[in-house]
Amino acid sequence: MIRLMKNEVIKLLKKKSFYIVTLIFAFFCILTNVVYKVLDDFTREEEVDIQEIESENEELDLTVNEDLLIYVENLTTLKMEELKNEYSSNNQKYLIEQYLYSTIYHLYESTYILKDLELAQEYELELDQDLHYVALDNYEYFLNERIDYLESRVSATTGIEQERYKKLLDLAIYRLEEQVPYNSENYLHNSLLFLEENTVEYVNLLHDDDLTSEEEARMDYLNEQMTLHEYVIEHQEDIFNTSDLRAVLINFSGEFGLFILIYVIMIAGSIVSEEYTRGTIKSMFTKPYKRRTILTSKLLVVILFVPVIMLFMSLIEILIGGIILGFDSLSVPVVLYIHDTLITYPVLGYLASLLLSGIAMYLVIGIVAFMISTITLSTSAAITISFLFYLLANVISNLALAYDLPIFKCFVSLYWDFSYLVNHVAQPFDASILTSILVIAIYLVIMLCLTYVTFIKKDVKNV
Amino acid sequence: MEILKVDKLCKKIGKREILKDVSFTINKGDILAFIGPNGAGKTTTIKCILGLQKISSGHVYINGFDIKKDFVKAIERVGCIVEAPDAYLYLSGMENLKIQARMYKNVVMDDIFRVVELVGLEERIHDTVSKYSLGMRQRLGIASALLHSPNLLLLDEPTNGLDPEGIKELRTLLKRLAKSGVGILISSHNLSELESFCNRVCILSKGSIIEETTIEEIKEMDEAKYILKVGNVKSCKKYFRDHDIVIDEEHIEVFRDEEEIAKLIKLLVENNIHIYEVRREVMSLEEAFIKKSGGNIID
Repeated sequence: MIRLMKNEVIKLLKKKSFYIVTLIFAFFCILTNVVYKVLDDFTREEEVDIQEIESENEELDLTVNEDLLIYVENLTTLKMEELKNEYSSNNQKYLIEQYLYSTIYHLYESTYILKDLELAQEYELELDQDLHYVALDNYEYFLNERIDYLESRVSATTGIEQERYKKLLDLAIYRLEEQVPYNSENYLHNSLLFLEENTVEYVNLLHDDDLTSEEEARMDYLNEQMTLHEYVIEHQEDIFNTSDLRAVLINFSGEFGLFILIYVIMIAGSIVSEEYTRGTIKSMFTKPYKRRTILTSKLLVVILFVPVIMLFMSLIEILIGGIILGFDSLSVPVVLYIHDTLITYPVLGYLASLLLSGIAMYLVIGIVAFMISTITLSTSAAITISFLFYLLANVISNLALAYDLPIFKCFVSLYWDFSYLVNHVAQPFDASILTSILVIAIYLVIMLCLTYVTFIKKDVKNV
Repeated sequence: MEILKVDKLCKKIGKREILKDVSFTINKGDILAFIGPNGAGKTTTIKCILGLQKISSGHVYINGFDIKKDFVKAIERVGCIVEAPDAYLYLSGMENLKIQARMYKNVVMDDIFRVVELVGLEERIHDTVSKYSLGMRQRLGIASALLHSPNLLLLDEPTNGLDPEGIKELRTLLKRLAKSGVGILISSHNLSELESFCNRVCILSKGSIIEETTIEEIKEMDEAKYILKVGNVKSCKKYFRDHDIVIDEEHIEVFRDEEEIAKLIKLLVENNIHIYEVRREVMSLEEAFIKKSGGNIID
């Protein structure tokens, strides 16, 4: 048996089609990794339409109080934009956005609304000083000011308000201690920014006993995101990065599933029928082995091939991805937020679990190809029908999600995906693990029985 | 010693009887020529012997083991080429042989080198088979059939694609194997090639064996072929039998045994027909076969 299996492996490894698919796969890996790398370079920035604001200002009636307020606000926005254009580095733009708004606003407010020129001059001086630090890119200066301010607010307030200030104060102190600059390329900064921006809303929602459904959804979202971002600053692990090897690998089982499918169907669909088309089946059948032994050796090779090809593909991707994106991110775990708790996986462990959870599906499709290949003796029929089976399976799964018809319950595709176990969610069709395994086993047994009976009974026809 | 015994072998596909009570044996050292026109059932017989096709009734015993009941033991010492020498075209000749060798328990590398040398493929054995000519594939097929030193060889048209030199070598090889005790069944449509080295003949027609005998017996059948040179061919015609042929205005060809030819000559002389020459010709296997199978053309 081992000898027969060894033969099958040698025949398989010498096939051109195997190498062609591998080459295409490697090319696909390179493309995917490059896409992940390039996508990161697009930094999204909100564009402010300066002309629109200016024309709006011209139409305002400055004798009306409300219009005056809008006018001052617009002026502030324009000034901010002007400054941001003036200071080119990203860090400086952040500082302007974060710290200069109130000074500029007060400047215009005192000039146009309060008409207090002395006060305006004071603000102007303050703005000049601030801009000096902006020019130096000295975020610590602003940070210290902010900490002083927040400390004073914490001691001056109580209740929810105090809680909000306290949280913001903690974030500011963290930023100062950990020396996190205002730089969107710094993942700690991104998480701090998210927390800073959303803490007030989050604390408010937390203490609101009467949430609307919309607010509840927002609350759930914030809950998840805040927890994850808190994880980032606590563990200093860059789990939100979408342009590293880790990010590619997390999506690996999904994006590369098609390739696994191609490999499995290609091998399983030809391993028997090709012997017939080549005529080599005659030399196999005239060796001192029972036909069922020959078929079993082929079947075992197909079954073992599934995890081996997954491992092989993962290695190719890790190698190519590592060369393009770097290997560092492999030490960062995968963090999942499930039912208010965080579950962490080592990234390779997560990948392995996801791939393993899909094995049942590839096995079923592989055996379909194997069966058709044996019964029809046609490789093309086996490959085509297996792909159609896979497509049909997906359609039926989707239909089953929408309509709860009993007939769908008999179909294997409702049971063959075990990724819900890895992601700790409910089975989409409410099937227990035991039911799933049982249904899959029944399918496999029926298909294999048909395959064996056909293979053993079939005459080798005269050419 | 009986190596192969085919006993009342019948094969039906649907209602059609492909083989009807085919029986023959191959002993140690036999080279059995298996001949018959296309569609006579030669390949089907070989496939049934090898277990490639199910036997409807009857038995096949190889080295005493029933192929139906004891397949693994029966097939263990059989080497064969069926229809065409099939190989994995994308592998080299050597890799093909290694794959075949791995399916036997006792075949080692030395055996591979031995058979490669035997069929004279040493120089090209590492080329992929897709680059081989038909003759070279045939040699490779013979090599892999001999890998495990079988004592029964079943060769279905092994001379296909071989050049005259190759056929000569094969003939020498098979004779040598037979001498060492291997039983050989060889089917071919080129009867003149078989004639020179097989010792027994089995003639198959429409799924039945119509003659199983030694080559000498066929050649020296009671009826021999005589060519007569006569004065008047037309006046001879009334003494003709079915198979007798007019060759030209002076020559006729008749099939008679010794007694009969004497009577025929006497008859012709008595009827005033001049006989200038009587020549006895040895019938070729082919002619004997045509006569036997009722004039069917062999291709």
